[in-house]
Amino acid sequence: MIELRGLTKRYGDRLAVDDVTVTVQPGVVTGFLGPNGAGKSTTMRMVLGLDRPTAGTALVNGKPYAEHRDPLRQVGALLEARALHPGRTARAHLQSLAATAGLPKGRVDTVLELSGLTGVAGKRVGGFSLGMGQRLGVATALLGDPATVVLDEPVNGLDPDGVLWIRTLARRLAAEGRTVFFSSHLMAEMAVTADHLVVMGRGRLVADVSTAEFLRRAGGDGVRVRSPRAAELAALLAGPDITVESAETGVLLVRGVATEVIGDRAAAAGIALHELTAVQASLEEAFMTLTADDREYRTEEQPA
Amino acid sequence: MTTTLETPTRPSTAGLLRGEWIKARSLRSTWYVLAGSLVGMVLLGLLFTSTAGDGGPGGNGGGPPSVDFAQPLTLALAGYNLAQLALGVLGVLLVTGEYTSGTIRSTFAATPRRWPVVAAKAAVLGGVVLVTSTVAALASYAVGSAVTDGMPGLGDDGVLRVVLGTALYLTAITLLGSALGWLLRSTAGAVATLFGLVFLLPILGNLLPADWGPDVVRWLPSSAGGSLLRLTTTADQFAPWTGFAVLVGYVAVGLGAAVWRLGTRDA
Repeated sequence: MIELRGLTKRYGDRLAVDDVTVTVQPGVVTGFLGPNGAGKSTTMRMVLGLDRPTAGTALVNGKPYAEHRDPLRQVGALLEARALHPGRTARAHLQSLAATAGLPKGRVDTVLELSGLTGVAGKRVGGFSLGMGQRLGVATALLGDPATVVLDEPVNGLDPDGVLWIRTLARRLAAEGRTVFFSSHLMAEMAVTADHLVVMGRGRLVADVSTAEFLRRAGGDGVRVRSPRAAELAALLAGPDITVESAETGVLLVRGVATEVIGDRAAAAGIALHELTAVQASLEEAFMTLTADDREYRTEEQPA
Repeated sequence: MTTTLETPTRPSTAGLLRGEWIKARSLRSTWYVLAGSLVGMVLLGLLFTSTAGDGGPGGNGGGPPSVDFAQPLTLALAGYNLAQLALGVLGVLLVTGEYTSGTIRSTFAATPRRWPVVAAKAAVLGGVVLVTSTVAALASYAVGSAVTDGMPGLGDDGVLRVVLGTALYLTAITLLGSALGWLLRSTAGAVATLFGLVFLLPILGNLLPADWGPDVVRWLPSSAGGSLLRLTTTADQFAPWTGFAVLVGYVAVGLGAAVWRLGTRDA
């Protein structure tokens, strides 16, 4: 479990992390979303005790990270891609950390196997592809068999096979009762992997909700209806808590009514329907809507 | 991942030292530098001693006044100048390599209190370099003795102190490099600063006025530590062990400052 209480980090006059209070629960995969510069990595570094907070606290499994006597068994982290010495072999990299943390020798082979690196364990990391480097980073994070796993952009540079591996791994770690906290800017990946979302924008907490709720809140689900008598149907459906939009002639986007209701009413009125589709807002759209004011870097014109 | 660790294990001092040893030995550059220093030192000593008296500096008494070129022992060990350069860079690299590669985050994640990492690195590095440079110094002396007639015996006054002192001096310079690496975190910056301290400042110091210049120069790390490598010291120089204590003091201050900075700075 990760508990952030009023966590704040200031660099000069810039607030990188601004009074963030959130609890990351064990047993579920928590996605950490936010545009570049939102403060995600800084937050993760503070959780690991690498950066000291300007104010507030970050507790991991009940204590500040640095107060754990066996930190690698408490938290395993992948903080940035390729934080590896190019001249060292994958095995030596893991062995040095295993020795430092007092872990049994077998752990090195276990995580090498788990990350599919057994065959290249004796090769120097300098020759690794980005994806292999990421796998070794994940292997490093899991070395101590930690109760809490923190992964910063783990799918970056991975091929589809690797992305699937991370997704399966994250879900399995959560199912084992561990706390899994991972960031990504790939919304689609988050939508299928994360149960819960923590969203940051410009250092502030924007949302701390379940993935389903996040999608709903952001304008959420609707029904796309195409009919030659769209205007008549729109009038028929109007009511409290129901919105009907028409972006193009003959097409309606209806919110607040189920597809069945729309179909039945249209049939009762004798209105022909050419399309009746339930649409779910993408995580991407939801994210854009929520963080519209919180993006630090943006282009002048947002794509439609 | 479904298997949990059966035996509860804890980080320990021995484990930390073993971890740093694995880090040092798993880089080829460590072995290249150690082997290069050893071989280079012995070969240079052989060159200087075997050519002494053939019109070289040993024969005509030229060169800087601070070096006693007529003394075969000094000539046999003169390769330490090259070795201190290489070993000092090794000291820098084993630290800055963690920063340039980013492994420092894993290192501090495993040892959040940080100062034990500085101590363990210094201990491992110091141990490895002390062994290597002791072998190099003894080998240089042996090779020099074989090719010159005038070499004083190991039992003669101060000779063993000079030979083993060379190894102690090289170890201290290596740790000075390590301290600069922690403080500056940049390979180029730390190497340049180390060279400036060890090589440049003594040369510039010689340009100072004669009435107070030597009082400044003898406090420089390489000049103070270098007293240990002389059979006889002049009034301008520290006594051998006093001078070495001054050098050790610089190393202690450097490592202490590194520990303090690590405690206040984000990794």
